[in-house]
Amino acid sequence: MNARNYTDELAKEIGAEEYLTVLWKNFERVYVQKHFGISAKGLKYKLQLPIIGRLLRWYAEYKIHREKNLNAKDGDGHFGQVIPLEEAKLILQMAGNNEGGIARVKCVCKKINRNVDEYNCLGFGVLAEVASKIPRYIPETGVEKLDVDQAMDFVEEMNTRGRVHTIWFEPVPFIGGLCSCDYPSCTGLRMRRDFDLKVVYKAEYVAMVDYDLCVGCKTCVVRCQFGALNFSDSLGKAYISQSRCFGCGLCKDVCPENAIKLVPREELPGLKGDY
Amino acid sequence: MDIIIDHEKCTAPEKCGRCLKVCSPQVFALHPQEDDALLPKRWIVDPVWVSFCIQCNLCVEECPEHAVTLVK
Repeated sequence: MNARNYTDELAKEIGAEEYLTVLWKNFERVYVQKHFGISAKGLKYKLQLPIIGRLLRWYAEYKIHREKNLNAKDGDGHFGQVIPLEEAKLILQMAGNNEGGIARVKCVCKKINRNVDEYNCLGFGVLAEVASKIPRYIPETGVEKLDVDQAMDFVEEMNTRGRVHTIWFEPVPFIGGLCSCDYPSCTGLRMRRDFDLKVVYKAEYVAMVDYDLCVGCKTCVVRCQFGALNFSDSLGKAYISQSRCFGCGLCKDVCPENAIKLVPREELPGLKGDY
Repeated sequence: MDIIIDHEKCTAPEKCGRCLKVCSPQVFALHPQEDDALLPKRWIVDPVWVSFCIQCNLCVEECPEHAVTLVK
């Protein structure tokens, strides 16, 4: 975790304000934006095409992870990572000290995917300022600023409701947002799970079940958004597939027996580097 | 296979948006037309992820304005 990635200084240095103003004004067009005449419509079919599909995948990944000459309209350099609750709290502590503070703004994804107005995206620093100026992202009652404690309570509540926490580069390397997402309403998680485009990276951890402690109460089973956790009837215990696990820690947070642990991905040679 | 939405009949996003919510594979998405991103009232619904459609016909049945057609 690099504290500098959250600072106003860095944001200024890379011109995040201009980038974010353009990106957030055009956010909802990212799906239908055309590149060389090709949009994301029917992407699954397009990615399956023999040669064009490969080219398209390469181009999409290149655009997503680009670090220079970013085109804000296309959302270049805007990608994220899943984080567990503890890290979300640490990040809020760091980011809350910025000049812009923390603002709670409307979730773009839920609006365009399900036509639901939900204010569950936390913008830090520059993003808080930029998003507050665009009327469609803020509540009718005005901008909602949160202090660090309120923001922490908020992510905790989201965690209880079963949301996955993600942080976002806006743009890389400035980290400007903390979202509470669920699949498939979240565009990032949808891109990652359905198209395997690395818009969202897995967390630094994987969940592991301690088979001596697990009593098979099935409390955790409903919490997984990634299809990694199911109840194994033959063992009578919860089963986690580590290759699918994104390390969000939602299952761990509800376990009454503390039987689920988050293990750093880097400590497991077989999973090292698998983000 | 294609899904066609009659935008003249469709009242989304202001009055409706049922198709966005009933669709299990979440095929539809709201998006702004060319230059009206700042006016959410003028956004339109489009089947963006058509490849995920399982042809359950729910969107056709649920649409109160009969604006959705499924072409096989």
